[in-house]
Amino acid sequence: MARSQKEAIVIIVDVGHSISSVVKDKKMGFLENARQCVSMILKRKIFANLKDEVALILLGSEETNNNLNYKNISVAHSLGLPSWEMVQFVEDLKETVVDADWIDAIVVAVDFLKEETVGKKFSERKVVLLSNLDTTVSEDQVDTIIKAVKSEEVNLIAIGPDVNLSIKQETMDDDDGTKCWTNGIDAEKSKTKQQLVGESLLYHVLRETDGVICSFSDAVPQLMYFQKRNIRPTPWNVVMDIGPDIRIAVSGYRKITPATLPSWKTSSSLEEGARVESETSYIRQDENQTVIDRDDVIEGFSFGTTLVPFSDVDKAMMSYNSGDKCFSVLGFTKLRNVPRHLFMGRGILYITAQRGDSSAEVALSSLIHALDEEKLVAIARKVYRINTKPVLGALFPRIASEYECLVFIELPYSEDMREFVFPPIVSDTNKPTKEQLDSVDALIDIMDLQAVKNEYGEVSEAFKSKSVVNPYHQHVYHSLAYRAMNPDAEIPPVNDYVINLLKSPHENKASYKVAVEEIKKQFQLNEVKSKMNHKSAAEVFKKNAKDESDEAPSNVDLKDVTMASLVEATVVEVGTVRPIQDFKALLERGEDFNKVCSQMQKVILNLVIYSFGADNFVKAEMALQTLRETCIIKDPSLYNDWVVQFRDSLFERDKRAFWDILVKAKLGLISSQESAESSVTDDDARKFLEYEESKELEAAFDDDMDADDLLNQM
Amino acid sequence: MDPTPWDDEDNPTEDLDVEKSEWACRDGLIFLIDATKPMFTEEESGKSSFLISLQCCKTTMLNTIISSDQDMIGIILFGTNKTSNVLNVPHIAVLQDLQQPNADKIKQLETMLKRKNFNDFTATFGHSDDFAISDALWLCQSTFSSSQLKLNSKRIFLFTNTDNPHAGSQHKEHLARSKAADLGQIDVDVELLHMGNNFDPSLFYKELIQLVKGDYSDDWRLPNPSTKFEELLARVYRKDHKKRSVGKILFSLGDGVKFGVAVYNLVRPAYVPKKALLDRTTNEVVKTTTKKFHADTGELMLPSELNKYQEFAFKKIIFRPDETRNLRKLTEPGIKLLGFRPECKIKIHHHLRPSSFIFPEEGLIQGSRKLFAALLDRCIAKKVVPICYFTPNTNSTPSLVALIPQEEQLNDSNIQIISPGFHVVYLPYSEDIRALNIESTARADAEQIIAAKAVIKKLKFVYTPYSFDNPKLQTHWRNIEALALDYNEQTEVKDVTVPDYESMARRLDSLAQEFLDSVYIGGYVPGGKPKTSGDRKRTTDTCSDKPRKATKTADVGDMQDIATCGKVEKLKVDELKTYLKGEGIEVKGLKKVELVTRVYQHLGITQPN
Repeated sequence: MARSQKEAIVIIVDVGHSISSVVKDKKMGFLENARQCVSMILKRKIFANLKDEVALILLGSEETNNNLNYKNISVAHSLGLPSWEMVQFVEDLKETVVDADWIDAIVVAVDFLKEETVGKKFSERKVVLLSNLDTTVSEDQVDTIIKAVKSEEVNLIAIGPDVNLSIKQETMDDDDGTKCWTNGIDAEKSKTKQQLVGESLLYHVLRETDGVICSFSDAVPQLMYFQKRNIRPTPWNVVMDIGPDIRIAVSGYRKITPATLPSWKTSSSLEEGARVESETSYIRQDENQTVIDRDDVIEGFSFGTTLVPFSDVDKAMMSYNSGDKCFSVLGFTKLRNVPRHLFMGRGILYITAQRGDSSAEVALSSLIHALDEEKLVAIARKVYRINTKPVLGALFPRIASEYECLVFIELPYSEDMREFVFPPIVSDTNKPTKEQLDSVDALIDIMDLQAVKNEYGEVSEAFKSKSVVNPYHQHVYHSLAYRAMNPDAEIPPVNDYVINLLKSPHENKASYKVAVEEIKKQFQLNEVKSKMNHKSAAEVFKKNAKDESDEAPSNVDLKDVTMASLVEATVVEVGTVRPIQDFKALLERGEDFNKVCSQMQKVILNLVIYSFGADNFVKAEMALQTLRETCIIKDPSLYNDWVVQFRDSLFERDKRAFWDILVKAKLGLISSQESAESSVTDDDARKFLEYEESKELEAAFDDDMDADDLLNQM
Repeated sequence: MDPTPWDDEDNPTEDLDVEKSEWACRDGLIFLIDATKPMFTEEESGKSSFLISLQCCKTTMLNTIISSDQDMIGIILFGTNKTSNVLNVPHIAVLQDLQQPNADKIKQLETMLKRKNFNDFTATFGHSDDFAISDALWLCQSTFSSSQLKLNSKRIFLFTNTDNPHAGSQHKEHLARSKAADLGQIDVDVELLHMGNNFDPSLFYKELIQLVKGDYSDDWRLPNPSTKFEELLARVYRKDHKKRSVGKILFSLGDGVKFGVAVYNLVRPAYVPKKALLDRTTNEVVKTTTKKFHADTGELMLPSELNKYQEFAFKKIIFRPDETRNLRKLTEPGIKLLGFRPECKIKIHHHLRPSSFIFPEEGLIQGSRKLFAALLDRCIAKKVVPICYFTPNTNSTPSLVALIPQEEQLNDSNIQIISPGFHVVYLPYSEDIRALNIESTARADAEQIIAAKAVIKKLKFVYTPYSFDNPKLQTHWRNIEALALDYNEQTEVKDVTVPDYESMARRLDSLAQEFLDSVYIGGYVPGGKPKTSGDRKRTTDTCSDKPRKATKTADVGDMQDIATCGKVEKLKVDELKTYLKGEGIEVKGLKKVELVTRVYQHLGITQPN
């Protein structure tokens, strides 16, 4: 990657005794704030996988350890990639009983940076000072240090106690502003005279060196969120055409693309450091479950129930070829023909003129403005590189103050559209009343996100895409950081910073509560519980939507169920709550045996598969027993055919424990001895139960498969 | 090597949150075809009614295979001399059982259709007028109910050209009518596809169908079958999506005020059907299992013996598998209202993923419909959109969404053309937005913009997604069909995404040149090497001047050398893949060892052991 993007940072942390002398009534002491800031800076660097190097200098340390031999300043960590040890070191920092000169520390830091970065390439070098400035300073050094910072091109950043903005402004602007800034603000009052002198000096230095100052209250919230590392934009260069003659050299850049978290890797829990490899095997579905070679596996597609092998030759001969890389405008259409909900694809591209090609820039600019003024968009075909799938998309004009571009967004093909028709929501009988509409109006007015006042009284736009971070990603990073620091501790509950992200800024306002209360009053909202007679609660508030296909009221169409039957709680199918009773009731009613059996089988499978531990095993075993007994009388083949699949499922889903139960209770195949109708010999039935050993390999099923993967398999 | 940020291949890897499999409900359809003599008389078109019926069966099967391959189709003939069905109902023959269609069934029909006449058919099945419609309907009913699989709908398409089959037998007519009423009771639908110009439905069939449908109004008319035939004979290469919500969740306004909504996906990419893996020798499906091994000992690892980790700053951060899953449980499934924003503030270019759609769901909370209606009404009136966190199910993480209100729209005949509800539009988080350092320096002047306008106005058309078929999918379906049915020729698929240069040139005429003259200076070649004259200042770009990184091992010569030295193993997986891909060799799912082998094989060099 871009080598030039590497930074060298020296962090100076004040641990001197004066930091503890600061008024105690402050919620968080200086050192605690400082520790948090530095720790977060380091963690952010670690997670961003940057190549930045960081050094740590303690100000006011008991020992002295620096090249210049300035007293009570020590280089705790020399320049290197940030490590967890460093984070631990920072989090363990304790106050000392000595003080040191922070200007000395800056001198040490600059000198250190100069020494340490010789021969290494860094794009930027920074010194970050965290001090409350409450120490005696030798002002005589100031000019030297300013000179040094400038000549070394070091960026100076100071993170410190809260500083009143207006005063800061005042001082920064005032040329000889030194001591004229105790104007009655509380925060200022609590500062010692020494601090005030220090602050004024610091401002002077920062102004001279183009440095930055940031209070804890500004820095902490910003630092608490992990950032994604910037990816250097890579252009996709192509010549866009509009008809055969008009051609414009453009570049596409990904502007929005769903951010992903680093993926999890697998390791052994038994042996630290052991590598784990995975291997896919291909198994013929015959009696012996023969494993076959990858080379003997070919691809095919299903045509109805027919499988059509599709060889490489077929592939080469018959595949669709989209042709060369291209970006062709097919025509232009009105903006309103391309409504937002049609947008496809993940993210968008910015299309700009190729860099350095001002002719293309002019041509593209004319097109952008023409589209903008005519309220039109272009429809274009994009082939990323030779023979990749052709993508259809719209090009929207975007004119910003700094740049102009076309925004490319994918559009659907006819096959991607699903035409569902929905009934009207409002009918004559359920029209909302004026009062009801007004109550919603009130809520809308109160919950405006355009101008939200924060706790400091600043007004801003809430949940702006540019500034809102992904709460899940933050949660993962916080948890990773915690585990890195505390390998043996349980993961703590969701961090407050993450919880705050999930809250509406209006949530605690009285006016909001009143508005919601009014809606509650205006609308009759009753939770529906009646259906639970037929389905377990878990099915209504579905744990996994994937179960829907299996568990939704399947065999009886709900519209067939009359109100009366709902009240009577007639059994409509075998459920997981009382499977045996349901099963018997349905048979008594003369329902089709095949159907009821297959319901029962499904229920047993679900009970076992979705059992937490062995919770449902007893119930499943009883149900299995009932099913087997009934089948012995009615139709053994229904049980025998199914139990083989059931066994496979148990092993596949890592539910061997239930298999053991089944074996123990002898609930295997129904043999011809048990039922004359069975074609299974005694020997076969016995062998069936001895299955375990030979099938051991099968048991390894990736437990961590996502629900999504499971879905794909279903 | 960095992963290319341009990977445009299908990679539906990460959270498919709302892409939950929409498990298809099966429909059952039986073609009940009259096989009495009149059906075999050739009409003016040169085709007999029986032939047309079989053609309908065939196209329906072909369409079903693509559109909803779970559906079951059967063909039953009545009025045959031969009796061939499980219930031994006289003069009824089952041509094809009610099953999912496959290639053999279609081939059987094709063979019948290819014959010049139906003499063979007559020889095998014969004709007889001694049948009863009631028997035929009864067999259909029994076929449906003995189906092992649950059927969502049951339909019978009845093909005949005899308008009064039971003339003279009141008894048979009566039986047929009472059977028809039975079918109506158990939700079996019957459609009549009558043929012949002089067919008089009022003699028998009109009442029969009315009984099935339970519609006894006087003005009920049998629909004209001709459009139905057109539909049945039209080829459709499109997956049919049954209306099904991907989840029913609660929408929370806060403080315990909640209502129910159902989530639908109205637009999602249709993929080429999933491949099946087959055994080369038997062409049967093979099962795959992935097992984890200890890399050194080769010992099998059980799921309980595995952990998950990520490595940062040279430290493995270890999580138990259940802990990684628990991380995802940040929010409960549902929609949580955060506030409202003016609709105009939702930026077009803030697009992250295809949207979903929500509609009130009374099944969770009674009264949802009304609150939903009020919210929709007020959002439309005030031109605001709710901003929410959206967690579609327990395994998904919260997404920031804008709910774009959509008002119901009806066409002139009161048929819904736009459904009421909210579109759930995903908004990006800051992490999803990339910083681009772009700056425009040269802008077009008024004249150039006028020239561009002239061009775009000439190329206007009305866009609808329905005018663009996916050429890749269409090609795929037609190819699979050709292979399955042993067709020798492939049907050519017209690629509608390719611009029609000829017509564009005609429409633009001289405007194209005028535009080019206005924006380009003579001799400029788009995409050619840009001149680097002094007046073009690029202030923002720091890396564009860097020479392009030469791709390692990009050309065959290099690889040849490497392979002759037997050092292919030393290359990285990415490099191997790039090379193989460049040579047009499939690399998906291959492990390094396999990749290395492929390289040697490809170059015809013996692999050192």
